[in-house]
Amino acid sequence: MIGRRRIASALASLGLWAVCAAFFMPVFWIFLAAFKTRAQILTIPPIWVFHPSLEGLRFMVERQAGAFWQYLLNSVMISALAVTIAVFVAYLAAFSLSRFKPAATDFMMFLLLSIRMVPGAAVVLPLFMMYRSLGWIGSRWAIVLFYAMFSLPFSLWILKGFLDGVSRRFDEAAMVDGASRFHVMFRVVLPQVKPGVVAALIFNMIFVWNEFLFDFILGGERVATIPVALAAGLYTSQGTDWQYIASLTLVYTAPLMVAIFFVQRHLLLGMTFGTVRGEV
Amino acid sequence: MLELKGLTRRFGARAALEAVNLAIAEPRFNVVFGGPGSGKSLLLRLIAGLERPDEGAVWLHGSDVTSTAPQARRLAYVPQSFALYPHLKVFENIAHPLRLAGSPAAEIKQAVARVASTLQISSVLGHYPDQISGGQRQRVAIARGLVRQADIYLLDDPLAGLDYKIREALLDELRDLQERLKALFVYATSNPLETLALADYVHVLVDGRIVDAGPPEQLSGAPKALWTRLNLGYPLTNSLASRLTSADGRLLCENDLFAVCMEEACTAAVDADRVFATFRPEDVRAVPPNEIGERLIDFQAEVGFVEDIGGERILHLATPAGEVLAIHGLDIQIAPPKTRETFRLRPSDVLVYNSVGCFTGRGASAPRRAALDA
Repeated sequence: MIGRRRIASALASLGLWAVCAAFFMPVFWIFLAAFKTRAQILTIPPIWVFHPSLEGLRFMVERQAGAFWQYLLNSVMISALAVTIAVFVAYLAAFSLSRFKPAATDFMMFLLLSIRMVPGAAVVLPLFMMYRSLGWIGSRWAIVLFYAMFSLPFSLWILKGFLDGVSRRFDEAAMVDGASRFHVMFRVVLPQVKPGVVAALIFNMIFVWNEFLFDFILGGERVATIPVALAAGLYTSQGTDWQYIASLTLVYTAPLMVAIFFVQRHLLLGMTFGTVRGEV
Repeated sequence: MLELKGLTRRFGARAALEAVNLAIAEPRFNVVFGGPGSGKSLLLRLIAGLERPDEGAVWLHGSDVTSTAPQARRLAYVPQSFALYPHLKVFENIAHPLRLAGSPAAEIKQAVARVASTLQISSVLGHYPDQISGGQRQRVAIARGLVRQADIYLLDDPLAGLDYKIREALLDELRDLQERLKALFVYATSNPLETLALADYVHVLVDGRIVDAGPPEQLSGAPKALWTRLNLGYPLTNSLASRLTSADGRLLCENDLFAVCMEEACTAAVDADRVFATFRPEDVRAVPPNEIGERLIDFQAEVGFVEDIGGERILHLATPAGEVLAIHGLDIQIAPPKTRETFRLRPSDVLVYNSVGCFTGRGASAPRRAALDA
């Protein structure tokens, strides 16, 4: 009986792993393609065992006189700045909403989240006109500001959930001990919502790192990020440049995947929105 | 030193504290004694500045601090919840108030070591709060409150839930500490034994009002309020529904168990048919066979459950007026359970309270049989 149950469990696990592998296959294929020659990429059936080549990565770096480094710098700088600003501002706002509970807090939270319900295509045109009239088109700081603004509501939602889970008794105990409001915010409460901060950083980083539309419309060539470069470099005079696509995809996906692997514990905690946090 | 003037705090229509007046001029161990929900914690939070009163004022050292932030009041506070910072080790939790005050590192180390040793938590200074037991967390919270030198220490039921041995030790430590620091301790508790063991002075809080105040010996002797009489002591005080009648020009308090002539100073109650005759369990004595007690209150009761509490026994007596508690030393012979025995009370041990819970008078003598029959 026990033996049969164990076999059934093993088969179920095997089935689940097979489904996971099937979903991961395209990603795996494109990662492998980054190390193949042009001739090897599109062979049918695909080659799984081959001598890895760095030809694709070298072409990617050298293409357009080293524009890749500009794209990478733009992606890293814009994502890091926008997300940091968004999470910092969101923490201040979430602390205020969680601790002082101003009138209509719930409605305000709904309004903020509803910004994320509007499809990007619906707001990109008015935003373009606004940016053009302000002379911000092609400005790196204006793009950072936009992404920070767009990342704010979600960060606020995550952080408010976490902050609500931290008892106000901590604030009070610290205040009677002589702590200022800033000390309470950053030295007493912030360390307790670190998982929420990490989750907000990662979720927003994924969004900004992968975002294409707004950077394409509002940014221009000088502030193009990797997704924009990827879309722009899809086609060459010889057809679709799979080697470039694969190499660029590897370079811009791998760092994020490695980062997520190391902070996935915080990411899962973030998904609970702090509701299961206990008080010591 | 500390003065509360007409302090009122309402939550909606309900007044959680109403017109609380209190003035403490010198350092002492002041206990705020009250049942759960009586407003003790709220009172301490108002003094600490964590709540704002709807009416009234808080004065500290001769200044009105009602609108002053908690940081500026310079009080030490042990909250009811531990509120230990989970990301800091026990040492840092205790050192937190000193670090905020900018004390030198050596001084912090010395102060933390001293208070940790007093509270027997030296061995856990390197642990995080979630790595220690509930009792240890509570002692860490007390240590954090006591580590700082202050004129006024607010302690919100800090010993609740601690095991007996540690609680006994901490009672002594707290008393010693108060005497050593010569500071004002305002200690909120619902525990009558803690109150009697610690207090120089007690304020009794019932439903947000101070109903009694005085030194513990005064309150355990003849309190003004029925609630104090019933709750300040262990076991709880006996209370029998009674009525006041007039006989030979003196008031007589009668119930289904006994009658007692009231002292002359006794005032007639508003509702004479609804008063409460109260007496302490330790005042109920078993009567040795054939002993005659002149002008004492004798009554018959059936001995029910006998509770052994160490050096003494609590007897649950079944009487026509309901259950009566008596407490006896182990050396006193009592009849086995389910047998009837005669018990005796001194009339002066009976305190009578009116229907609104105010002291009405004390018993003076047992009425003569003839007077009772009449």
